[in-house]
Amino acid sequence: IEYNNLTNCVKMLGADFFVFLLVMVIAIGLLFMMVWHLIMVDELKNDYRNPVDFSSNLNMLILPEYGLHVFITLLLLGFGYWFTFAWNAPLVGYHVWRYLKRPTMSGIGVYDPTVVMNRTNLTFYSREGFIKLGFYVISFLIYLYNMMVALVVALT
Amino acid sequence: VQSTLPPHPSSVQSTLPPHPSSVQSTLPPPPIGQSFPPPGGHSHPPPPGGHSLPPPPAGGQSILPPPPGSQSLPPPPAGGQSMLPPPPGGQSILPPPPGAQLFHPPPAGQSFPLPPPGGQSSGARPMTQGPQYTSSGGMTSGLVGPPTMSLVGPPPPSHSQAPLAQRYPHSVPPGTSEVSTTNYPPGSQYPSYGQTQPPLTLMQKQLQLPELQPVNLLENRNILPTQPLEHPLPSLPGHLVSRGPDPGVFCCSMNSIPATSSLLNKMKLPLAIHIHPFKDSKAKSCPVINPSVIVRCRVCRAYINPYVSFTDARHWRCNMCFRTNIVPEDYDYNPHSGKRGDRSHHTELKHSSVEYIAPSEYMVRPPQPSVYFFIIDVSYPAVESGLLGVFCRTLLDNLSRLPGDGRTMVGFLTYDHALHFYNLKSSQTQPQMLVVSDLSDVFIPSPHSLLVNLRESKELVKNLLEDLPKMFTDQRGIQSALGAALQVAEKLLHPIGGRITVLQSTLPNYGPGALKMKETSTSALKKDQLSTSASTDFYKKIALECSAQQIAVDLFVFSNPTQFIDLATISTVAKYSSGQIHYYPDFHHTKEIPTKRVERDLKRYLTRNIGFESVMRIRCTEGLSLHTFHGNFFVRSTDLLSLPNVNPDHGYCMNLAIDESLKDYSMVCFQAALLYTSYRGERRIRVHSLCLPVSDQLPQLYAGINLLATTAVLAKMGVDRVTTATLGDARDALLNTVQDATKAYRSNIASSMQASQFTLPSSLKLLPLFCLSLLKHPAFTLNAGISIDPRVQAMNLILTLPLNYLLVNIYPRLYALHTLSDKDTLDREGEDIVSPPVLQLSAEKLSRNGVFLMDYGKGMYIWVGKETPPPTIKQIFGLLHFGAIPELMCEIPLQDNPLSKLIKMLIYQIRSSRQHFMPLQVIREDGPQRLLFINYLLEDKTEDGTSYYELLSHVARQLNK
Repeated sequence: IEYNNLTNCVKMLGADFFVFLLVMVIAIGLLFMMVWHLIMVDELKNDYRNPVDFSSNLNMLILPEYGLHVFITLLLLGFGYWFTFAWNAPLVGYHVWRYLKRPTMSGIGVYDPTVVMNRTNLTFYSREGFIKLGFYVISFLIYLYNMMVALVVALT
Repeated sequence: VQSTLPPHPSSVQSTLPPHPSSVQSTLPPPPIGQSFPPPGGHSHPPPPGGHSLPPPPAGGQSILPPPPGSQSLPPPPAGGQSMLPPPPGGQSILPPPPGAQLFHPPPAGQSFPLPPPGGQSSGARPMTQGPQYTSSGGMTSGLVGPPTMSLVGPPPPSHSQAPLAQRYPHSVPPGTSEVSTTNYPPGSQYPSYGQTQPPLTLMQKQLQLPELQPVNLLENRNILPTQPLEHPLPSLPGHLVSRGPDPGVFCCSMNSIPATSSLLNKMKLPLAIHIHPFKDSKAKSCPVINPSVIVRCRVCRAYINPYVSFTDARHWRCNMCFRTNIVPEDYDYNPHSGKRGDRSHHTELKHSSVEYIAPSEYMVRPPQPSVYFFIIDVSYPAVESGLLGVFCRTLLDNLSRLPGDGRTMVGFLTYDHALHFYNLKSSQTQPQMLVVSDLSDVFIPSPHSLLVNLRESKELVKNLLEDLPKMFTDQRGIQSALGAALQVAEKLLHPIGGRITVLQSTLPNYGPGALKMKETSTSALKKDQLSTSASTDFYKKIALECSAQQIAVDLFVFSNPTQFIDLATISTVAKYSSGQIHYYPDFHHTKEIPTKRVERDLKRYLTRNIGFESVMRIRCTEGLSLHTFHGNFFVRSTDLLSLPNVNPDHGYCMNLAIDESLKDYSMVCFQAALLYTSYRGERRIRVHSLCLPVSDQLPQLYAGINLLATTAVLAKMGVDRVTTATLGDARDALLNTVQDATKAYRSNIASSMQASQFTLPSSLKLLPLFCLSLLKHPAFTLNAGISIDPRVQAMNLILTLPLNYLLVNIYPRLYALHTLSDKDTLDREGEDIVSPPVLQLSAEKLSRNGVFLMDYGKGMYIWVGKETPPPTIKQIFGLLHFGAIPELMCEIPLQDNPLSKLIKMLIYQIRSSRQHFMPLQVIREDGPQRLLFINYLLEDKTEDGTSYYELLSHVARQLNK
């Protein structure tokens, strides 16, 4: 009986709600990754962290971040949410470009410890971090709104 | 209009009756301790006493003083000001702030009271010192140069007694008149000029500086001064100039630092510092001191230096962060004179370069011993070229001269498709060879006997070096497992640190880190798409591991020009571990010159000074920061370079960014502190400080440009561009620099009349020439004849050579030998040789009946014209006539005549001033090797590119678009 209740409940709320719930949770995850990124850049700038540490820490996060973002974009595409897909597509494009343009390196990631201390790069990393942070915050709000709409539609 | 005005106002004061402020400022920079109170005496904050003399406006006295007593001249203070680093924002003709304190943000009001006549102003100093100053001024002034532009022409002949006004009827000495488009009216007109003209504004006065005289490039053919170019010195107050560092050790591309970043952006020129911290130096230029306490700023940890100010008897103000520190107890006590309040005995307050012997707080572990590990490629090409023999012989000869104490350790490893270890444990009678051929997971046999104490195992090492060349004579393999060898070497040296020397003769093509042949880059070159990034980061990773363990990897790469060895990739192992990269594209033991070169370079390499486990921190005054780094090191933090080994043949360069406005400061300071372990096992700190004035006046900024340093940093930025983008981008960037700088000069300074022409200020007039030589440099040329490895090496050299060596490398020096005479080569005592006149690199300077010497940085050529008269040939070469000169002549014999002796002296002087061996080659005008020489005539059209005038007209066209 409980199982039936649950499936009924799921059916009642509809797929929209759950898709956006999932996407929203992922967006929160991405948001925290960006905060982490910014903290690392700041630590690097202020001499609390050396470039090798910085690069290995952030390089680990690169593929998960890009992967999660591609995942939610594809998910939105799959469910036919054109607006949210269009909102995310440019960032996917940017990530692909960023990864293709990475320095020659055997491991994963985009940060090369020998060039990260370059002021131009440092400025770029922090600017990139802030812009993406803003992007994920707005994304989060969009997903939240969509989720609420889906919920309201389902409940009425 | 302004530009044609006679530059009188700045000079006016100097001839006025001794008004306190004016006289003071025209006086020569006094020798330290002579007429000024010793440094300690400066401790009381100005104004008006203290050590705050306005910088002596050499320009003032030298540019044209009208006869004394002219009535209608502007008031003296106005004159004085043009030479001062202007007070923030003060453009007006306010009295100069004579009391501008060093490193103090001057108070907002600019109208400082004039110093009282009797005070510090040294008004009583006799004017007879003036001539001294002018004669020395040739070297001391950037802004405040003597009338000769510091880049142009010899300093004016010494004129000891004549009154100044007579001495300089024209502000422009004869040699410069053709360079400057501004011709000054005869001196006699000056007084009347002064009567009719209203006083000029500060800006106009600054425009009269000799460095700012506009030069119309299209109309001036002979733009290169005949004297070798010197670095202009910053216009600091006199007593500080004399303490400044040798420009070859520490200098900046701008001798006046722009007060804001927008000013810097307006100029479109780079701001960068060059440091050669570990230059072989005599004790005089970098004294070693062992103070009881090393005085440093408590906040920013900067070392005390000659440019700090003492706010009162107990406090000094740091010139990096401007915080006040307490002077340690007893610092004021002079044991020599027994007086308190006397700091004159402190060497660190007198010299901008000092070396401290560091106490134990500066060690994280006991100082490491000298450790030298040699890893040698013994594949077929290495054995066939005879490298092994040459290396072993050289090392054997210099074994006892390896720098180090009794703890010195050495080890050897050879590799082809396997690794050969050598057990040199002193308990053995014979070196024992251990071969490991499984490279996937190398196991190190008997790890404790591979790296041995040199003193204990000396006999074994000698045995090994004697046997080594014979051991591989039947080598036929061409595999070379460099990657595995480096990994093992890193593991062996891991606990101690030290130096790994790699001798590589073939592409590393086996085991981990194997590289593949790449397509030669000719097609990429044609499309400007050449890029020289590494093909794998294997070697970079090793370098970073080494760097973390205080190990440096030095590379000696032997190859031939057709054989690809992927230097771009393997050089990264040296690049990020602070190692040096040597590349010999034509080595074979049967060839005389290359062999000699290798031997000499190896000898120098093995015996030169070395510093272990070192770091260098570069501190700047707050508001400035390091932006980009050029050189071989790993950047560990925003201002900290990790240099596992520091060697005397490397220079470093950093671009600067202006983060905050510097308007509140009159001067900024840079300090490079190199902490290292000497080969004697002492921890030492070498501190270099550089102090520069700040200016918010564009004319002053332009006048303060050090074009030599600017050229060098442009080259380095160009190399960065080739690595991150493509060759075409780098070339465009270089060309754009000329265009942008000219455009910027037009819009910033030039009057409307000059704006229609292609003019640059005198301080910048060589920029197009140097950019052209950069475009033709092997690193940047489009000439497909230069393959990728030599190109990469040319780039490495640009990044690592110390400034002065790099400049010869960029723009070679050409001397005429047949016209050498004692007059221009010997100094006054007739003992030391001074440089003879330098010629422009153009075929029109050559003559068929002359003999010329070209110093192109890597070596020297002697060019003999076809119609050289037999007596000259006889004098120089000891041969009967031109035809008797052999095709290959690498040394010229010493003949018993003055000309030959002078030439030999010149060659000796050039050779001894270089870090590496300078081969000499005689080239006949009709010989097959003439192209080698011709290609260095950079101003002509060569296969590397356009001629100087084509470049100029191209830029001029772009400008007028």
